[in-house]
Amino acid sequence: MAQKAVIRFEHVSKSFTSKKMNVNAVRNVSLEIQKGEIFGIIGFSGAGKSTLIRCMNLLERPTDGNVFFQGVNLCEVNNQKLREARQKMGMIFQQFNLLEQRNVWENICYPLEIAGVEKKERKQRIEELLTLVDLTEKAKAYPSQLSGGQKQRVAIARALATDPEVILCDEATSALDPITTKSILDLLKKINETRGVTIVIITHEMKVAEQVCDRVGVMNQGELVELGEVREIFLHPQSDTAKKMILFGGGIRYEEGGGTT
Amino acid sequence: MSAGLLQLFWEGIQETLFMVLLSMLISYLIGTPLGVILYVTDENGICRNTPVNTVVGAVINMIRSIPFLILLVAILPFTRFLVGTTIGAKATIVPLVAAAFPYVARMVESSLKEVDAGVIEAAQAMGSSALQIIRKVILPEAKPSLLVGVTISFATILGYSAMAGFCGGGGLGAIAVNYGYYRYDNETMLITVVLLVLIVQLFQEIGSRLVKKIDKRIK
Ligand SMILES: Nc1ncnc2c1ncn2[C@@H]1O[C@H](COP(=O)(O)OP(=O)(O)O)[C@@H](O)[C@H]1O
Ligand SMILES: [Mg+2]
Repeated sequence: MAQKAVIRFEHVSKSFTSKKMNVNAVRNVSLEIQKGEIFGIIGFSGAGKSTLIRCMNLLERPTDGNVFFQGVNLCEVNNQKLREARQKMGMIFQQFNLLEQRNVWENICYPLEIAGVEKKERKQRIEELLTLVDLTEKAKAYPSQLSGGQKQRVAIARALATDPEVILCDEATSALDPITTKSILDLLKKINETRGVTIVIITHEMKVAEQVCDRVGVMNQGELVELGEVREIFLHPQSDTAKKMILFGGGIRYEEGGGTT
Repeated sequence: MSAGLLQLFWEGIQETLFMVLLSMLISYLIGTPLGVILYVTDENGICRNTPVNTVVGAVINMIRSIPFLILLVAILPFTRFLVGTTIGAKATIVPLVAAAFPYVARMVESSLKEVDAGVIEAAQAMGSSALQIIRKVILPEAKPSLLVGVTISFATILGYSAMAGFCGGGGLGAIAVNYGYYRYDNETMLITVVLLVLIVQLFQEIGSRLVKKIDKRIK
């Protein structure tokens, strides 16, 4: 491919070893995520999706292989450089993970404080982000006063605060109802289109991948068993996992000869 | 009740509060960093360090397993060295701190453990350093629970301070011992007990209200 890979995995494996057992959560995965795309990783629960996405910002350090971000091997850089790289990768989670003792404004402010952004610029940035996620009125509200969808929008604003290259989403919509899910996915799509932010979406829901992803990887038992254009995988699933996911995922929206979504 | 007795109780209360509050302050100054160290060096901590965790944990457990009265007597030379005397409220602060700081360290540790791991992970994903996570995430997020810990520690240290009355400590404890134990003055003894209970209740109440006020998890 001529495009430039933002994230590149080179034979990445991650195993968890404890006294009792040894789990190979990710096995020898190689992949490239291109700048500006929305890349999905799908698979059933326990397939290793979360571990894989956590290897992207080294929340999990791979036991084998290399992780490149913008051409830099994150497995080899020092802590300082790793933190700088992480500031260019926002992350959002299923459980939102907002600071509960900080209000919306202060939550979005957190990454700016970390990055050492000046006060005046912070204010401007936060106001802009609040407008983007449509939460200007909730600036002073605390997470406990927000709905799930609102919390995730705060999390998205927070993830965008340092103007990241990539946003990593680990089951970002799995705790939300279908309508809220759609609005969050639309927001992510808008961010991808207007800001050119690369987005990686982990999901066990076929519908989510179908709605927003350009390409998807299918995971099963730690392995990447299939990789391709969303449409291609929906139409001609090769792996058992993909076939099963489409079967159980309901509503196949792609028809032979032309997509409908 | 005679004016003299009233005066006695009033001074007892003041002395007790002086001892307990000052001991608490010093215990928290020592115990909080230790609690943070225990927490971050834990197996699942952000700066996992088993040797440090084991050593600090063992020392704290050791001190905590010594009964307060024995600790008080055992460190008498140290108390004399620091304060110049082993009698009175000021001198009691030394054993109180010695007994309370390990307790506070464990208290702080357990409050910090209540902070949601997901929030810490999010902070790491945003590129925070360990120090930033401690200062800006863990401690502020644990604030309500830390405050609950303060009220519990207060009751414990107040209890210790009363025990110290047996060994020349000042405050209400000394009054209870001198009048109730040595002179069989049950009335004075009873009043002291009631006063101690009231002080604990008062602080508990203030603590709970404060926690409610600062905790943003409740609307
Ligand atoms: N920290 C961990 N320690 C031990 N095992 C883990 C850990 N994290 C994940 N695993 C195991 O790795 C496998 C993949 O988990 P995960 O990546 O969370 O899957 P998914 O996100 O696809 O549901 C599971 O078997 C899980 O139990
Ligand atoms: Mg998962």
